[in-house]
Amino acid sequence: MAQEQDLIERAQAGDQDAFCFLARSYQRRIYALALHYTHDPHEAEDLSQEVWLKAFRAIGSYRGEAGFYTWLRRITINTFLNHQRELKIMFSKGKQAIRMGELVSLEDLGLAQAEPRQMPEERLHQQMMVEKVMEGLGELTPQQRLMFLLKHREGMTYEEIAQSCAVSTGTVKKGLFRAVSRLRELLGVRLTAPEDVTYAARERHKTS
Amino acid sequence: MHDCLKTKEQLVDLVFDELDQETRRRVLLELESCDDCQAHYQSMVETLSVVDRAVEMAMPDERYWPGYEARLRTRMQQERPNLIQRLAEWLGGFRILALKPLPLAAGLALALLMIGWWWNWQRLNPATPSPLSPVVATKSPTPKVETGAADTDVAVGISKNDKAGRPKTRKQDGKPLVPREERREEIIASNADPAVSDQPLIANSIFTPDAIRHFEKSQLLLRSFRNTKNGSAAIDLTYEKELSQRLLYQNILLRREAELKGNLPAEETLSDLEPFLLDIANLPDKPSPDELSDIKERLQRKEMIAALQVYSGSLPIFQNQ
Repeated sequence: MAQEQDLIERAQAGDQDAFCFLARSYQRRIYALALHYTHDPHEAEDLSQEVWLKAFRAIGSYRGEAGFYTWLRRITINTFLNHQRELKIMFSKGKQAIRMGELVSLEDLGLAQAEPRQMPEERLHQQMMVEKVMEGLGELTPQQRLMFLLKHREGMTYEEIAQSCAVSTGTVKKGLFRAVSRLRELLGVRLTAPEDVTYAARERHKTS
Repeated sequence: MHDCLKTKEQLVDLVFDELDQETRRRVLLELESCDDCQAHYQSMVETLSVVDRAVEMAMPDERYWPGYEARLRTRMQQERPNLIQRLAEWLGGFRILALKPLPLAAGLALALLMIGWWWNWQRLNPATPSPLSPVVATKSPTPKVETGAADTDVAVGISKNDKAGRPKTRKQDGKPLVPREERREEIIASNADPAVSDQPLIANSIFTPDAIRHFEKSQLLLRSFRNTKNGSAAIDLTYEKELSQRLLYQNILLRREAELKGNLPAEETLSDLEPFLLDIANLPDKPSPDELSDIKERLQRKEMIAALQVYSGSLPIFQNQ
């Protein structure tokens, strides 16, 4: 904690190395959020780096009232919301600027460098699952996706999400319910009796 | 008595751990008594598990991160440090003083003594110019306020016998009513000149004049939107939509400018405003009362109009409304 505080102070004085060192502690987490949100690795890198650039620009205004990650998450959410609005404008102008729901390749997802010991069949299976999930996330509205990841990945409460997204808690709850239902439908997770073997259970069985 | 509908409504709370201990225990008991609800619950949990594993698999391996950091560094170096950072860097040079507290304390005490001496000297010799300051003209830049009725009319630029054909202004309690546009210009001008204004506004130091004008226009739009009647089915919002679209583009430009300058308060305010402009711009020409009330409710909850009123620096305009 003391080390983090020292890094923050150095970064506030304009030390880029200190900032990069600070970023190293959270970059995977921010990237994972961006990957969830954009469901595209290239866009995830771009968006997550946008978050870091904004944080770097604004670090002088960080006063330490909240934890560093809480402050960073606020920047992340704002960046995602702005990204969402820009996409909305592009769509309303008829420009198909992004590839919503488009399947991504194995290489794009970084799985090409996966464990060399893995059997080709196993890798193919994993790739199919990842593609399906990314496609499913792409089918959600940006707002549902943001609510879903703030709840599921970040563990924020309904109230915190409502405040961040400027909506009511009822809207958050509805959005989450729809997001999970839609994902369940798209991933083919069936409504079966508890003893039946489901998609996830099959996956677990195969990997074990 | 088990109610499937009610239980299913609570499943999302259960899955996302939003239930208190007692309710959670009760819902879990309900699940045990109903296979259908149990299946729903299991499927939701499994969906989240599949998503988690897929995202874990999609995460790049360790070899990816040095490149990521290098690319981030390149992008950071392309950015010019903002004013605050440069100032912080400059102030950082004074840190050496912290290592020598005694000379620093002595210096500060000396400076305080000098200020005290100068202030006392000024107080005792008000007519004599200070030997430390150059001789300057003593005429106040503030224009003298005339109180005569005819003079007041001249002062606001509107005569009772306006030959330009503009409508005459009415008077209430001896004060002329000046059109809102003129009053706004007057107030903006007076805010811009600290010598004229008695109340320099904090907003002026944070936001650019363009941003302040933008806040003012947005505030008028949102106010007009908020005052539309919900019950009227035939309400036409074509004008508001067009205006909102124009303001939206302006908002995006200003927000990006604020981002580049690292002006976080301006960026946050513009970011908060943007969804409202976007939603109004995207409304159908004749929106349903539900669509209107949804936006109005959010406007009220975020207290957007009040915030814009403060930031626009035009508070006096609306005091009588």
